[in-house]
Amino acid sequence: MSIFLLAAGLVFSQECDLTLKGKVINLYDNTPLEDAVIQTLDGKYSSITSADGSFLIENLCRGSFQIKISHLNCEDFFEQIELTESYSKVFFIEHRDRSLDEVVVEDINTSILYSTAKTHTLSESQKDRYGGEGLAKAIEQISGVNSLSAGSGLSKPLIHGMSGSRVGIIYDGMLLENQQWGQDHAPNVDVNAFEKLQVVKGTATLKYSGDTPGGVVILESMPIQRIDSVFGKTILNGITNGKGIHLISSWTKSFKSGTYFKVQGTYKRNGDFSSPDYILTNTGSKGNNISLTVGSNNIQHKWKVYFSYFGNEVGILRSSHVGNVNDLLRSIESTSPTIIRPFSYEIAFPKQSNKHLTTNAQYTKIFASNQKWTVKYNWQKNNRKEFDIRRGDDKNNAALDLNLNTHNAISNYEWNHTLGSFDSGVFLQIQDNYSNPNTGIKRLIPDYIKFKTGSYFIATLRPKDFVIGLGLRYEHHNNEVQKYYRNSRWISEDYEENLGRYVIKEVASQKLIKRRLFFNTLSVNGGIKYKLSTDYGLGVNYSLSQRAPDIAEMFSDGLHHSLASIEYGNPFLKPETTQKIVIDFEKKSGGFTFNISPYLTLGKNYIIIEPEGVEQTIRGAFPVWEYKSISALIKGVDLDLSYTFNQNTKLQHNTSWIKGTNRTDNTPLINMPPLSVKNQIRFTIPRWDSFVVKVHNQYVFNQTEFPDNNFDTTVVQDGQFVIKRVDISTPPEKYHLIGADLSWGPYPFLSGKINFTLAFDNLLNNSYRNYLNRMRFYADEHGRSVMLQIKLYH
Amino acid sequence: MLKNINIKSLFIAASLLIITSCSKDDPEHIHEGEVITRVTLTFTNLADDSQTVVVWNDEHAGEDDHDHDHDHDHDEEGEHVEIDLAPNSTYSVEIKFENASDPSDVEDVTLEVIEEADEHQVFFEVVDLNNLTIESADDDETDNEGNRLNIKTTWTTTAAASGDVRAYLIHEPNSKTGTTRDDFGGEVDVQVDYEVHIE
Repeated sequence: MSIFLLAAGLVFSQECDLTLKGKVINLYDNTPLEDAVIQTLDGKYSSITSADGSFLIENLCRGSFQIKISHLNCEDFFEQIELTESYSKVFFIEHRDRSLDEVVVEDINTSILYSTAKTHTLSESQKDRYGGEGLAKAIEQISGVNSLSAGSGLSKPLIHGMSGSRVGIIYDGMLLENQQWGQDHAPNVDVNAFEKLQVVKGTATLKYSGDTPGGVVILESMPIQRIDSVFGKTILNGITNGKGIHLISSWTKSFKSGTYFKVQGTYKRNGDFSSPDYILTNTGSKGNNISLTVGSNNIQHKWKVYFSYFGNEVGILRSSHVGNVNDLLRSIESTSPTIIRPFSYEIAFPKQSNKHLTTNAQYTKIFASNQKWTVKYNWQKNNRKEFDIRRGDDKNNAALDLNLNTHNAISNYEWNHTLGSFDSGVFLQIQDNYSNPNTGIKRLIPDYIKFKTGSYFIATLRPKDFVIGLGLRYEHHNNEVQKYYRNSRWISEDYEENLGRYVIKEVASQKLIKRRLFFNTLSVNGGIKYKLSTDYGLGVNYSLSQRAPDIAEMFSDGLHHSLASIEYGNPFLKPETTQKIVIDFEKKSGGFTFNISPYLTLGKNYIIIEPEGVEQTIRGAFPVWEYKSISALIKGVDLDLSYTFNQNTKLQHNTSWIKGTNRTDNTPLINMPPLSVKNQIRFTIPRWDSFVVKVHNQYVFNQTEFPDNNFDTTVVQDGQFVIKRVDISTPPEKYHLIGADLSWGPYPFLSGKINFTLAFDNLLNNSYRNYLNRMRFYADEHGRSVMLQIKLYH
Repeated sequence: MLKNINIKSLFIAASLLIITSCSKDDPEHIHEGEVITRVTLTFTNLADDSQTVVVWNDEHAGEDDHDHDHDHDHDEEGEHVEIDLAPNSTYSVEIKFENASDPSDVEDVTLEVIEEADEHQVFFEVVDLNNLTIESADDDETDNEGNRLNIKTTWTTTAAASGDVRAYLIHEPNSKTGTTRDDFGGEVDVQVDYEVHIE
């Protein structure tokens, strides 16, 4: 229950001469709610809000009474009022209007920071529907957003064809710093710890990052108001596929003094998932998250201390652990996984475990005329462990154990002027990566220390009918990397000439180099939003962003068990420069609404990884993948349509098309999402208002544009050597999925409300494989699943 | 004025952070205890007890061995090492897996394989060569179920011919018996090719 009030008092002494004045505001987009009915529970007084959401009830007597605010298909909102004097209040209520709530893509105009770029906000029900399955899965509901995964529970967002460090995840006002380079690296953050989940496809704001042209995902908590209140929400999910359970709960206690406490916890557990035909052995996982917030909101200053712990342990499909390319070939040729065992909750090897600790402390001073100065310190401590199938003493030892410590300090200053709103800041980041040497496996990512300093300036100007946004961000990077190179690699790559001077030590036929790297990056963006008429709007956003190469892109060095490939960084990479333009043409009101959003991305020195030959090892020949810079072009269009037939029926449609080209080699880019079409029809039954049915489908076409990374290997067949092609390039077939959600409620329950949802995924139990899931070489996707969700507002 | 305050405070914080976290210590060298870099086949001709040793070194994981690696040959079938056998002879062959990534401390990984016999299997696949049969030896190592590991094998030749042998060390095989690589499942820890000449 996220309800809060802003109160200001007026003194009147006469009895039955008091007034209750107020405004009813939609919690999600800060828009006023028209035609909301405000009544006292005794039925004596009532009022209806006008177009600006305001209402007035006069001639009230002194005393205590309950009011109810109801709005068409909204949750009823109750409030106990102790009236000793006339009141003026703003009521924020959760709006569940059919015409707003279920638009997959909702607009928010509240934040001045990224007002020219379209912000896609998940409604509460959308967020809760997939929140248990992780961040990437939840935002996949937005067109143009996909997830790149390495099996169940290991998904990362892919926005407009970009992922990893090109997509920023901002939580509690800070960029998430975890090991984000691999396809199997899911963001180490729990979406359930935040009430608001937004996505901007493109460079939304240069406040948090300048190097995320793909997009940003913004996780925020709702501001806590200065009232005495205890409220919270608990979600319990039971899921048939994987026999999983999610328990998510949050509680907030606020005081009139402005002080508040919030505690949130998530517990998730599931066993092996199953495809329609077999168990996906070793795909069980467990995860938990706990976060605590203590803060105080005052008129002239605010402070907040946030602490969170995220932990998970995720099993990786057993049959995806292959020894060499011949094993990989055997898996590709086999229609089902090579290892299928009975269902189990056990998380065996291979697996990964992640821990992420966050400490945030911030203080904001608010001056007259809405100037704000904020200082913030943030510490993120991340540990990532990957466990392989190993032998001997190392059996239970992690194969990868990385500790990433990041400290951030920011000073931010916001002010308003007659010309517009301005935001500026300076920041410093220190990041230390330590690779635990006890793994007994050479470091995939070397030890490094990163210093980053910079500043940003953002201006939002609002002449009539226009919003103009401008942003500038400069970053200076100073990285010190210490890496061991094997002599064989050193010689074959001729590193001596360019890197020889950095060698500080030679040991056991390896060279240790200590190298300092400097990068200066500048990002600029500019956007304009124009109101064509009351219905139509046009937004154009351009950004030029520079991104310093990742440490992984420059220095990674190791074997990938799930693709039987050896991966090498390229120590000579330069910063990549990406230009992106996104256009949003939209119709926002009426029964038919749409948003057409074409975009174009031009990447210079765009860093990708591609096969670069074969390395002969004692396990046979392995393809070698190496990072390199190319010139890239990504274009696409996202289309969202919504049509309201009548009060009870509404149709939504999303289409996403994208095409990526490597212009250097004139080949398609890898991992571009295939054309996808989604539809959803939502009905309610008249006079049975708290029952909602949604039927949705998704049709994913066959991706025909892909680079050919296939290679040959010799296998023994019928006593003869035969050369066979290992097809790791061809995307899987098209597929069609149908799902349905039935939801009842909310009904009054104890002192709060309760809501039930029965959600069906892959209703037809179709077998399919997803191009963007690395496990597609080994197994089908999940079969049918039913989830029962019980939501309690307290 | 305000902006000065906030810039000043940040510089104080910045300098504190820089002072406390200077350069890092040198990362320690990782000894890769688990890798196999060398496969050695020791042939004993049962007729005269004469021994021949054939060594397969991993060029990449091992020493800077580009200068003294004479065993490997490259051709259209990839990389292999040659084995010369006499016709109509019987050899007792022992396979040895070693980690020679640190030449001053070569580890015998075969011992680990034998210790974890249930999770390992050695397999020799004869390619395009009818005149050679490979069978596990009577004194071979066995797992808990009595399956022979093929650490010790007997190679029997007939008439002169040439062909190949692919040797595998399979980790966590699905089956401990079979006649082709596919029959075993599991993951390959070692896969090396030998060109065999019976002459």
